[in-house]
Amino acid sequence: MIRSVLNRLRLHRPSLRRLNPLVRRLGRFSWGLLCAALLAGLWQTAAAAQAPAQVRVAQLMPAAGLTVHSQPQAGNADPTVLADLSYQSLSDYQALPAGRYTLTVASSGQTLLRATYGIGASDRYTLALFGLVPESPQPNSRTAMARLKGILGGVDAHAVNGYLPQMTLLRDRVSSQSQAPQVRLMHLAPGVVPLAMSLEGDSKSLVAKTLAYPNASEALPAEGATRLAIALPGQPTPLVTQPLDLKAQTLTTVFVAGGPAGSQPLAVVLAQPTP
Amino acid sequence: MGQTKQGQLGFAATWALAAGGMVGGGIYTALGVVVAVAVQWSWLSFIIAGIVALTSAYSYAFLANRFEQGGGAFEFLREIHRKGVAGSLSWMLIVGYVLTMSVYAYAFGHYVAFALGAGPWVTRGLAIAIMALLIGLNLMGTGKTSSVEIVIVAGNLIILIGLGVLGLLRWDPVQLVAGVEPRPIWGAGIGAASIFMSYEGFQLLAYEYDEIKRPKQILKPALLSAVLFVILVYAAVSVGATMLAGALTVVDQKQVALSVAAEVVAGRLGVLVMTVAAGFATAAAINSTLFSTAKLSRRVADDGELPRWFKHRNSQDVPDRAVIFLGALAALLAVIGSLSTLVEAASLVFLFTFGTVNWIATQYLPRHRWIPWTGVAIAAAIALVLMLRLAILAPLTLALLAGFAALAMVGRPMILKRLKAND
Repeated sequence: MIRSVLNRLRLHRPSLRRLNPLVRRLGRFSWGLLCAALLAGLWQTAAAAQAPAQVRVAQLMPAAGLTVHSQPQAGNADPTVLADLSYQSLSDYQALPAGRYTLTVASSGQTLLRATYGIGASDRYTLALFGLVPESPQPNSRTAMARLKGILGGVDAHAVNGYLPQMTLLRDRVSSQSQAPQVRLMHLAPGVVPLAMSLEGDSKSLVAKTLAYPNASEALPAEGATRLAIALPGQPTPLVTQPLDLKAQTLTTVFVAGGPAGSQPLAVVLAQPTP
Repeated sequence: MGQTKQGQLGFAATWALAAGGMVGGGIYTALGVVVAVAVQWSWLSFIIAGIVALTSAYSYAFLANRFEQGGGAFEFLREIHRKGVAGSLSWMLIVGYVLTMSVYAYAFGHYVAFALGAGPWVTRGLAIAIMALLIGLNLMGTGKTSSVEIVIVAGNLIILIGLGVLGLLRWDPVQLVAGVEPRPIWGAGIGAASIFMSYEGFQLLAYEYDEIKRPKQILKPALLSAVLFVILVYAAVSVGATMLAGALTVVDQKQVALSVAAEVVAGRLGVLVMTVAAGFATAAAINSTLFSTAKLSRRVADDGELPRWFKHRNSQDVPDRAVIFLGALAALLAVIGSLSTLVEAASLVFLFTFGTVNWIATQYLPRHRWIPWTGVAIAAAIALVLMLRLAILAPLTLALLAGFAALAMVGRPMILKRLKAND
């Protein structure tokens, strides 16, 4: 087989003959690069350590207070309180060893949400809780469309779910070769129309995104951004503005919270990276 | 059915071109899409889609040898006197190839821009630039350079296998669900439907039938072993890369999932290696797809199933208008489309095409008909799932595809008739 490949490389067309030295040089360079990467990879693999993950909770569900319990699926450990939070607040990071956990969200003793998540070693996550608590809540209430989207769409599916309670886990580190700070925008104000969000610096818009509930943007490069402006699409006057103090090579998540038809004013909750 | 002329491609070259056609762009873009849907069962998604690819490879090889004819599904349908269906399918197939090229250009732009730390405008610019470059090279008559492709395929496979092995050495099953909810096993079927496009490349070889040395001896074993090998590579890479980067990261950064995994392994060097691999692989995949699609367009136009406009050739005997039109369309889609939508739309077109080829094989195979029937059954099942998924999550994409399918089946004869009358 190798001989046959080499025979093929004895090129026939004149144009290919000209290409041959270039291909050979490129091949040698690529092999060198590959060997170096494989050696580095083996070294890294051997050195990899299983540090615990860090998990925090953002409470964006207009409710008196929510309690989040975590229970590892392996072993017989009892559930522990991950966070006990009021509306629009953000907990500190809690260390959790890597594994599968059942996360339970309850309000006034009634379970609203229960789901199993994998928590990867050495990673950092924010668990965002959003939606509106119904008068008589049932655990994991879902509309038919939300169920269908969940089945067919998997992790990427974002359903309005009739503004019923939902939770989503966000990774707080995004790989980037850029030095610029990054911002992830997330519209979590149930019943509020799509919002135009703009990262501004020196009085001009640097990046703009229009998001509908309950969608998040990708991590946006935010070099020079000093202010966030949130407006109705097509409207020049912002509804809310928020000063930003961003650090290089970090990811800040901006949650826009609020309630329908002015029941709760729009508010911004910043989930900033911590050392 | 004439005697084919003696070609130059031996077993190894045929195998490498088939494997390269698949690996060229597929895994670089498909991983994040499939992990989002199937999570810890992504490897099984690749195996399910791979079974359809395997039965299709069997059918393609059988039909190509039977009819002694290059040209793939279009020629097979013509040979069985389904000229109208052949015309309709050729239109759909050309759209499928354009979507595929747009996915490769999208991937090229994202991988290179990620390594440079550049923003979305640079990403778009790179996608347009690679398409422009390859349109230019094709117009100059460079065409498909098998030897260059073989070098790229070899490097590519080594890098991908290396990444998969390093990930497997770090065996950590929690990473397969890190940051996401685990999915039930049936998620694998939905995943298979979403990323079927990543196997389409082997059938570009059907257009090179005349170039293969002793095709009756070589084509079937080369295609089958290449597809089998690629299934194993995809399954290993899906597990290995996800174990390195974590499921949520692979989904969040699906455009550059393999670079992110490589970064975990070897930092900036890993990103550099993966960028070189992805850059060359996607560029080679665009080149061979553009070359074959232009060739198919000319052939279809010769047969009166596309406007005569597509028949035009430049001084290098290249169907220049087809190359420019199809390449420009792919560049436009790469700039305006989203990854999942492009991948899934292309997957649907190829599921339909492969299902058709398997069906033709069931009519002519003297024995082992269960092989193409298996392909027909699985392709039909996952195509239905994919249509349902698109109807719920991307209804506009499905409507556009359905509209184009209707145009290809119903409107095409009227359009061609009118064009002929105007001539």
